Amino acid sequence: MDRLGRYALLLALALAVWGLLAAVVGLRRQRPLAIESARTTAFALLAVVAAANGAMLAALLSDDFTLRYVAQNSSRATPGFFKVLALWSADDGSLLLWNLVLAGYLAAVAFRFRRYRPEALAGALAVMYAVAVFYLLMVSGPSEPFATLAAPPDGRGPTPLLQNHPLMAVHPPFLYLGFVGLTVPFAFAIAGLVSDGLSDRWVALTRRWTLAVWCFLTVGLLLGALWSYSVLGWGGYWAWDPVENAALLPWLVATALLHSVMLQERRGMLAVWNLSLAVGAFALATFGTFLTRGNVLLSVHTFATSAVGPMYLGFLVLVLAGGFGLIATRAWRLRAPGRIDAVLSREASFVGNNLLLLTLTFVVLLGTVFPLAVEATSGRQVTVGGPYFRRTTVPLLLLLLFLAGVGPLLPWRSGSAERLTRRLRLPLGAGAALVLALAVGGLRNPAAVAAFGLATFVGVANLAEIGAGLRVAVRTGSRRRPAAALGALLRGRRRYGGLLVHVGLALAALAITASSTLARQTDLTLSRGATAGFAGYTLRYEGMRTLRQPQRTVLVTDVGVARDGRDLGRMTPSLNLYPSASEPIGTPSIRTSPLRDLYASVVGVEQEGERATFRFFLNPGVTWLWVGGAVMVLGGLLAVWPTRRHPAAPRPAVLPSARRREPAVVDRG
Amino acid sequence: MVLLVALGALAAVAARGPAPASTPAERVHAIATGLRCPVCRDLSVADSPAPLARQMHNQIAEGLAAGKSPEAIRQEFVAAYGESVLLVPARRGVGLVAWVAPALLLAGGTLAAVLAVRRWRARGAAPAASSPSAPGTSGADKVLLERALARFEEDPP
Repeated sequence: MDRLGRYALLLALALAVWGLLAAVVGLRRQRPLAIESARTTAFALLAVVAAANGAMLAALLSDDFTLRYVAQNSSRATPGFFKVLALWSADDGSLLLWNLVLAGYLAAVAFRFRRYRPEALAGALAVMYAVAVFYLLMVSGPSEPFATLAAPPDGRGPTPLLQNHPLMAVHPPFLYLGFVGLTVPFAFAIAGLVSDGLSDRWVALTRRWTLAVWCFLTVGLLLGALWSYSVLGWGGYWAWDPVENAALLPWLVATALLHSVMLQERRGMLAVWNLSLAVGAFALATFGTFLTRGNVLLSVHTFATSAVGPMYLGFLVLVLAGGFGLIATRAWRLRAPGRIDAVLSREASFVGNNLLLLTLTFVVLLGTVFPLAVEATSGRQVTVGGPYFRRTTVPLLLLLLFLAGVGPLLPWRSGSAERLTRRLRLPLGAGAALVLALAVGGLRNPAAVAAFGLATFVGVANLAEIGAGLRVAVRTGSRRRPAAALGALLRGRRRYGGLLVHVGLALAALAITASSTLARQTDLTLSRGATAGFAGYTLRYEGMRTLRQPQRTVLVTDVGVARDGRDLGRMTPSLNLYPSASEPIGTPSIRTSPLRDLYASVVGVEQEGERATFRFFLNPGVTWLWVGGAVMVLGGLLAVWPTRRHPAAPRPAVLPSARRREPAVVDRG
Repeated sequence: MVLLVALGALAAVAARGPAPASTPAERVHAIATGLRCPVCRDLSVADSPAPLARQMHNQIAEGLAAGKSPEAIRQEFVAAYGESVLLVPARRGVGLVAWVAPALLLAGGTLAAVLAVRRWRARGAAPAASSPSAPGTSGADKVLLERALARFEEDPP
């Protein structure tokens, strides 16, 4: 297996170099044949990289411990499902997967532009192949997934934390799809910059790619939060861990980019700014991988350790210097005379959106690298943790939330204060009513009250926009109601998708506020048969069971839950003992309900389970974080769904329908 | 404008941090959330289930019961575990940078955005007045329209 894998990677490297050369020759000498060769090479590259991944997978499944990676990350007792997951549960293997995703994107670009060849294609392929060459060099030098050793009788098994929950099956692949996907807008942006025509077409070409990538990133972040919540047992879902931050940074910049490209599409403004965002998003994705794999920091994610740091750093410097160097030397010619007609306009709200998102990015980046910078310069150790990030990001997030409610209500060009006030009446009223109710109800935390009010405002404002648009469609349409509404929804998918994302954001904001300001927790030590009360629940420790599984021993504690004298069943927080881990690893037990989660983890057991110490949490509203996240992704998918253009339809008909797509000004007066 | 002032005030309040804790348990929790659990990298003493964190939790409760001020308790932990036990950088020395930089950036960014919008608006006002042929459409609009039309022409089928 190691030979197959190694040769496949070498062949892949050769193919990527060939693709790069062909694309560059095609670009420089205008040879369509060379470009075509670069394009078709992408499919071969995908097949070969897939073969390398397949070799590793086969080795994992067949317990081939002659491979160092298999010996270190799998064992005979590891269940088959987790053997597959071991492919991305450590550095070397996950770099293989990373290469597969990158080759997949290359092939997808090659397939998408099989008939229609934009001028930027050759340049974009060249950039993508260059990135692929870097990552393939990485797996054939500094990181050696197919390194061999004298086979030990059994492997060590995956890191216990990573084999404790099936969510590990989907969280990393989605994040990779997001991180690697940012290569596409970056590649087309650079291609536009280096082309003789110096075109800004990349914005139109990659808008839907960027949106899809944004969806992947959102799903990846959500799954990461869900994993943290249901595996780590600390009752939370976001710890402002450097690795979490590293994944959040590209998401923030991609979100900013998705908003600001609209200004370029509509008004021809911000061409240089958008190029910088595309380069910045890709650079931050690279920075994130550098941070996790470069062994720069130790965190929950310490399983990522190898000696590839310097290479990443060099690549990052190259991306930053090359990208921004090109922008500085060439992009000024793209500058168009920007124009905004009024402060009360969609345009101005996008400027505010970008300002806030970029400030957020900066704050998160600063907080993440600050300890490293201080230690590197002065040798002192400082920590920047949750309280710092909450203090600095919450005000920015609140302002951003406000814009997410007002922005969509503002028309392009110029809005009238009077009309805005009319459309703000319902959402502002709803938000204010909630604020009043909370204040009367005794909630004293001003930031929490404000966040609840603003989130309600955003949700109602965006829902009302969707409702107003659909009502007009139903009233004017000749078809039956649901059909007319659905038709309007699909015709205006870009606009309605965006509004739906904001509705999801509002739900998520409500959930985050509720769970971070209203949660309660307690530590209880109970003897067998003893009961204790917590937040209205009666908790009874019923004893401990021991389950022996091939790869681990599980100590399951049974806790009976009752509320108001009514039996609600059992919770089973447990401790897992893995042979490879010195400390037991907990698995929390969560009783989910729409309004609140009762969350139990067992901290320790004494006297063979006669006594146990638990930590209980009452987390209000967490369910709505997952629901809100799902709505955001749904909105993104709605917006990304392709518009089918019938080739038979006469060309000019496209223009009016494009205009009809936004009933931005729904005049109800 | 009123709305903006209100929002600014709101953000300022939010930046000041959570409301002061009142019950003893809340006061312990407030201190515990600001301390790093020394054996687990990124969890606070309040969040961590590690035995050491629980011990520190008890130490805070005892300190408060003995009448010590929160700052004194924090300094005891700093003396025992070093500066990095504080989850928030100090507001002096190097730590000050972490607090001042975001505010400076936001202020600078806001200023730049306001200036940019004002410049864009000023530019918009002039040509709009000097295009008598088609009221409401300026030269710049025509350029935009032509570009958009050109794009539809070259778009893929």
